[in-house]
Amino acid sequence: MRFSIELPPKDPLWRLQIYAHLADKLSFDAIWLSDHYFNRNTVISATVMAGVTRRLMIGLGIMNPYLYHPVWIAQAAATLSELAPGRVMLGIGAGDRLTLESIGVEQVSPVSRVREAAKIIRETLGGESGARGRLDFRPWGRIPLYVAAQGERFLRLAAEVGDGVLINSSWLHSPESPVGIVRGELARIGRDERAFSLEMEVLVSLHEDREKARKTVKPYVGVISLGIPTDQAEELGISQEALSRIREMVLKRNWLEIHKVVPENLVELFAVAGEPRYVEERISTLCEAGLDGIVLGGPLGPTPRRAIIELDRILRGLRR
Amino acid sequence: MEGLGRRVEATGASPELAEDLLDLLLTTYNSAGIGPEAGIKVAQLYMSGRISSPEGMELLLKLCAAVEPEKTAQILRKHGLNI
Repeated sequence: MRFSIELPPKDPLWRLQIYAHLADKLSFDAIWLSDHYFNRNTVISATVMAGVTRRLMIGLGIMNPYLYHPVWIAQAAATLSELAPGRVMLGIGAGDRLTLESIGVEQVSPVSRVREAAKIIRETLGGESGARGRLDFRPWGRIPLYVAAQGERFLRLAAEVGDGVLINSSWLHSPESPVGIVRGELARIGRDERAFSLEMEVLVSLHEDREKARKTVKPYVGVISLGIPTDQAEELGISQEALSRIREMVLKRNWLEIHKVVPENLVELFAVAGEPRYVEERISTLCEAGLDGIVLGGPLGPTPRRAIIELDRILRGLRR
Repeated sequence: MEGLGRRVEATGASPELAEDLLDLLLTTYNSAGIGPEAGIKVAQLYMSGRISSPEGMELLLKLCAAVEPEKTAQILRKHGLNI
């Protein structure tokens, strides 16, 4: 089981350096630098993290082909590999519609778009002759390509074109479902599942004070809940009223107040938030769901540095 | 703030105090009050294991006092210090 941490570049680079350096010294396997246009630049952040880590795999992503040309994404990953040879991973996905629309980008045919992007990225990284975007240099080490997936079509696409899948945190309440879909698709198309990594991103917030932990994770839960299809939201008992209040807060980026409109049941559905013992139990259960890895995402806790240390302790225990 | 790091070090509270102050800098909403040069210096001191050195303590105290004066005073009191 592989355990990674997501470091969203919403924090200044010096803070990310401290977290990445600490994770590198502890038992984590990888860090993912998530991509949101309103945060700091992912590629530059990843480059800085490569300089302060020696061991960790470094994931770019999720990179979005609506915002970046696939050749540019491949070029960035290949360049990063010169600083972190054999330690670079790439994640691609369609992004969330609301964010794209807020900057005037229409999310048309997302599955086809990501499929095409995966093809171009592989051609570019592989240096294939005749590739549309052949680079004049080669990446150092193989760069695995992950596909971020929430809905069933993307889970199948990940099995088709990816080296791995990053399953959205919205599946936390029933992780066996996406795992079954991906494994089923791998079998259907005759791919060896041992050469594929099935990983799930999980929003985590750990603190001795349970309420503090839950309050800290709510902005992340709010954003995740907006990506849930309407029928799934109904099945999970999430009211459209609640979602529209959350949407309003997200559009205003009112991160300090959003916890007031995110219902408690959403925290339970989409995040692991609470005291260390509770977090340990939930992650332990998740380890039984047939995953190859877990990406601990979200805030990690009200005090992220201490949360990283505590999560390391928990994961070391689970690995034993 | 001159010489403050050495005074704190003399109390023997440095490593735990440094961690508390560091966490304050890592979590304050007023991160815009910490310039990139100072932030990078904090990271460098942390990564080189010198965050609780007199130099590290001095920088932590200076930055914490600037961005979170009340919380800084609380932390100092928690460690039995009144500087």
